[in-house]
Amino acid sequence: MDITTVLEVPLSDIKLQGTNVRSDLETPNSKENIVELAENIKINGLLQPIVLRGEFGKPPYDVIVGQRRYLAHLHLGEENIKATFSGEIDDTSALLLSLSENMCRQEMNYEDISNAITTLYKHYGNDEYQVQKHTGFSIRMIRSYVKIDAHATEKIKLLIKENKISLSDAKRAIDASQGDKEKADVLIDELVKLSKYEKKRLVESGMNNPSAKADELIATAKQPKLEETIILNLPRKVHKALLEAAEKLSIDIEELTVNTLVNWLKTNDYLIES
Amino acid sequence: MTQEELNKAIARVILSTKRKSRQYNLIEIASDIQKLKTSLGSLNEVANVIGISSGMLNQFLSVFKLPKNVLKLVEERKIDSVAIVHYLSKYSNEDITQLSDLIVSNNLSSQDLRVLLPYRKQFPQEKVVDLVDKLHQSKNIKVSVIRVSEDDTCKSIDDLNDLFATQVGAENIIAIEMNKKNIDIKISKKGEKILRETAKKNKLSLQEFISKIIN
Repeated sequence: MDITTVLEVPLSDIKLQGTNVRSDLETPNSKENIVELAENIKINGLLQPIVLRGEFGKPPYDVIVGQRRYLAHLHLGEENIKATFSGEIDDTSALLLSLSENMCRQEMNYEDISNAITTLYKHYGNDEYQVQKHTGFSIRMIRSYVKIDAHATEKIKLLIKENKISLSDAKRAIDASQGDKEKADVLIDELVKLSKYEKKRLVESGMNNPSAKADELIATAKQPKLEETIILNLPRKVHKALLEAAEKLSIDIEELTVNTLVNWLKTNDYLIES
Repeated sequence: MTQEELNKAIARVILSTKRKSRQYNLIEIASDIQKLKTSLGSLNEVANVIGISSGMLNQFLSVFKLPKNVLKLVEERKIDSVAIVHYLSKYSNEDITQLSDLIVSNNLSSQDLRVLLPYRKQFPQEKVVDLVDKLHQSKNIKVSVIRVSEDDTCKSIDDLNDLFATQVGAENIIAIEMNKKNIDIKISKKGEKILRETAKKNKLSLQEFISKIIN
């Protein structure tokens, strides 16, 4: 059946079976949104049909796209809803359809995105590029979700879910704690109070000293480091010789210095070209 | 908008968004972008015509989110960086006013504004200027080390301290230390900048200028 064919489907033939990526429809805020959406549908009608999984005439059908619109119709006490049919598709295709539709609409919560991305990641044999190809999400985003799903503690996952910490901070706590979950839980409480520069130092010192305690890492993070750039004042004779060479070769003295240094490092096997 | 006006606006926007030195202030450029958006139908269409991304055009348009007192600074070109305006527009009006003073006095960069944003969200009750101080203090300290061989100077460490203090200011000298047969004169990045500028004014390379100081 053509997915663009719109049909009137009895609501009683629809049974939610969890294909839709949204799981946040029971929160008070979502219920309020559904009432609002129902009011809107009452005034303007359903502007866009929902997408059902399966073939027309073979109920029950599951909702792939448009779960909120379906619930709004139930709220209004409607008997039918306008829908199109995806045909018989596998779970992964249904999940992809639902995910791409919902990501473009109202912001989804962390848990729903995480569940969808990690399910797809496993389905594609832990190949993040396949997930990217099918969803359009950046590799960085996919890696973040996969890493957090695999390594974050329950406490960190809860804090993300409650929007109290960012995904970046969760990743920092994972990296800095180097597999020590107790340490990760202590670090995450302190991490959110640090500046970006302090967070960077925390991760660096955590990765360099896996045995360091959480409070030691935090103390190190709060201590700015000295970043030294050495300006060499060459001996006069060397400087004079460089000036002469630069003039004779008609190149900048800085370029000549870098070239000379690179050549020496290569000749002595300290610099190996990839 | 007539075709001629449209062409002129397109030319102005191209000239102002693709060059470092701009003839117009950010409000004038954003107004042109706004007019083009109305004429052409969408920002994406403007982006296609001008040849830069709609995201970049949006950064210019963020100037309209600034409060009036700060718009005056933009008009006077005391604030003239599109990146600064873009990040600044993400703060509350009260914060924007305080931050703009720091920007005008060259004490806050667009990078600082970007990094400060999540920090501000974490501490909404604190004064924004206090957070800027904390942020600056948490940065790694960048030090320029002028390393001279002991054989290349007849000056004592105290003499070198006085000589460099005269050039870059005592506040920019972090330390002068002996390091094996070398003397390390550690100065701040600001000190290095002053040193380079003075060398340039004297038509000398940094190397020549340092040699002159230490001899």
